Amino acid sequence: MARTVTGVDIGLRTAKFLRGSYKGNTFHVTHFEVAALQSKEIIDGWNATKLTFKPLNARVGLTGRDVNIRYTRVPRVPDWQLKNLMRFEVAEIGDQSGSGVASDFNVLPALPEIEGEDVVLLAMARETLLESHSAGLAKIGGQLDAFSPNAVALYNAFLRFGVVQDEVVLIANIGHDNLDIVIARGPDLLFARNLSGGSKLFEESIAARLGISQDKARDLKEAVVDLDPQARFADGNAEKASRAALAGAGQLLSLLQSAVLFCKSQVKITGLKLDRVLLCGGGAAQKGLPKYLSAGMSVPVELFDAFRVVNVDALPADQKNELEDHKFEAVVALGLATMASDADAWGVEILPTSVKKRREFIGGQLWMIVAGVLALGFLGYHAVRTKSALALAKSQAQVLDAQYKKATATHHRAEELIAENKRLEVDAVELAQLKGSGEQMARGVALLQDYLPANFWITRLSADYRADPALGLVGNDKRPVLSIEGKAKEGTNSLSVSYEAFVTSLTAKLPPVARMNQQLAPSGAKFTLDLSHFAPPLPEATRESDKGGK
Amino acid sequence: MDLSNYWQENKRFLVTVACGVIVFAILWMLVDRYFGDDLRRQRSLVTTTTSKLAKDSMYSAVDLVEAEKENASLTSAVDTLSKASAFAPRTQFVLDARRGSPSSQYFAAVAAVRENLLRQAGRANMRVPEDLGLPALSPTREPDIARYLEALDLVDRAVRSALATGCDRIDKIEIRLDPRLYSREGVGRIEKTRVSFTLSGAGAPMANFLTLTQAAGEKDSNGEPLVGPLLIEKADMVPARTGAEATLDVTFACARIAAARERPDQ
Repeated sequence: MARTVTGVDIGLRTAKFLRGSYKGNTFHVTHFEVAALQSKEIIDGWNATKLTFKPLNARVGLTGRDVNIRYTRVPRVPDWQLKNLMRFEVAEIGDQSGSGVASDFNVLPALPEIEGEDVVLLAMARETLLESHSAGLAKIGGQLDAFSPNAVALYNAFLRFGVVQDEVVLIANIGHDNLDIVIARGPDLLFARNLSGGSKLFEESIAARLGISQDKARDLKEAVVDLDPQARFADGNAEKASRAALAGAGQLLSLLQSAVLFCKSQVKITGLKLDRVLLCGGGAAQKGLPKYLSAGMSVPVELFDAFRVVNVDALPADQKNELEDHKFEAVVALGLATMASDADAWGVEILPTSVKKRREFIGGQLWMIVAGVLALGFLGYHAVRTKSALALAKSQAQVLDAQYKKATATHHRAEELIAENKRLEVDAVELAQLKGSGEQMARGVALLQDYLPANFWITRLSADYRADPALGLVGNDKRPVLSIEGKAKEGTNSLSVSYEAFVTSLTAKLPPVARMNQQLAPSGAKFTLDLSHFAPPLPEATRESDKGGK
Repeated sequence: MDLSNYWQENKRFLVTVACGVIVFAILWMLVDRYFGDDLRRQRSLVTTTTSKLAKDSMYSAVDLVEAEKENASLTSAVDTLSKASAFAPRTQFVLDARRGSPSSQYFAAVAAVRENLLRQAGRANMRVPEDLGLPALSPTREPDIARYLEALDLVDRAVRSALATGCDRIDKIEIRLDPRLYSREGVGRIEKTRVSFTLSGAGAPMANFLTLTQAAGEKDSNGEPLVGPLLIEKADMVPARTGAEATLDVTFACARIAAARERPDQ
């Protein structure tokens, strides 16, 4: 996703701020400001700058003597090896320079002339330069995205807004003090470099030849100098100034030609031939310069108007006019902004060591620390949760254990009581029988005395502990039984009737628990009667049937 | 990207992550060791105890209350029955250290009872064995003396009952101490000294004799019972082989009952 960024190209004479973002395939400019400067140091330019917007995500362009772009041919190796190689290279250069150097590199698009090797563009800048820019940017409320060489920004501007066919083009951004050069073949970058010397060369040559001040020379350069070889001058002063400026123009031409030669030697493309030259930057506006350079380099030289395909509709009218006035100077700022806005752009991003470390910390170590803290937090939460669950489980276990112990104690106590009750029951039965045996006999005798018919008499009366199935005393269940044997002789009443009346009377007088077994001999002359007050109770069903039978 | 390149490019990240994972695992294991093991053990205990509470067949508190109620009523019943069944000897048949040695008390009691009963039997023309069922050789051990004195009390009461009901003859009296008295198992809760009588004569007085032994009867000047009630273990009254008389074999029991909580087998 494209970001809204600010391209910053700040030199000693002008500062350009262009803000915008990529939407679709078009770059939309939302803010533009340009400020004229008279600085001696970079920080002076920042201090003199006042913006109407905050340059957030600022991609700041680098050029000048403190920026070095080198080319290294390396075998095709994995990225991590390439990083190591570049790190060694930068460390070596940093040791030689004796000051801190920040760097970044990128592999140039594959060149068909070079097989099995890559060409790496290594851009380095002194930390002091980056610190100046960073301090200036912070002062105006900006926020740094990264630093990039102006030459690389120039290539990005050309790639998006200048490439029309597969030809070798030299693009030169002519500043006041510096010259940024790019050589591209079609969309592929071949060479990018920054050199000292820009439009200042014209002023210096005019001042030197005419013996005037630098300021007067600049006024003449901007007002009357025409470098067109076929120019017709209005007066003698114009002709003098123009001829004086030609010395500077020659130096500029030499710089461009030497750049081409340097490109051939660095990238090892000996057959490289320029097809066209595009000029931009403040110096490109020098009258007659394209024709002069075209004559010198024998190729067409044109001004590079990158803003033909840039959407500036969102710009306020004054900023739009300002951009129109400075469209050649703003090319590098546009290239910086497009490079920063497009994540897929070919670029080089130089960061101060402190910023780099901070971003590495935020991008990597911080997440690790956060992950570690979260993991520790989770462990702590897990420990606390487990501990509380343990406390709960212990509490539950204690409660249940107490319940179980209580239930067990109740069970054991009940068991003991039930066993004791059984013993007590046995004792009670035994005592009742012991006590009741005699009582049973006495009652039996009393009943006999009361109800035995007159013609009946007793032949045997015995009391004993014995089993008697007829009384429900089975097996070894010996209980007190009263046995009566008797005889009768016929009288006025029938023996059976008398006997029946006798038995009925006995039954009525016996307690409900008593059981009796009586038998009358068929002749009616003998009878036996067994009874026990201690027989086990009849089952309910038997008792009911007995009642029914009666 | 092969693994080698990935490793080279992300060596630091991978080592950090691996160390982090190891530290995390160690800490996790420590937490598990200090709390997790115990937690699992406690949860297992909870499950086991819950299962035991649910599955184990145990008497409930309600059952316990029922058992306690039943125990109270049984204890009460046993106490009542014990009091009713235990033989309560009269004062003169209880050894008392103040009245001299056990032997002298024994001889004094035997002599007094014998003299009294034989005199009354003579007056009533009722035959009574002179030995009163006592052993020919007087007991020497104090426990035996105590039990024979109690049996003598029972004999006295029974003979008085026989005299009161007009029985003709007491043919035989036999006193037998509980055979379990000196056994290894002990006598148990109820110790019975058996006193057997063999009577003969008319049937009706003997039937009345049996009835009278079960009645509370008269009491002496000390408020102690003169006769019953006496415990009858067995009785058998049958016609005599000759004549219209009958023979009665009756065994009384002189019971000593240990308290429920002092059972010898407990």
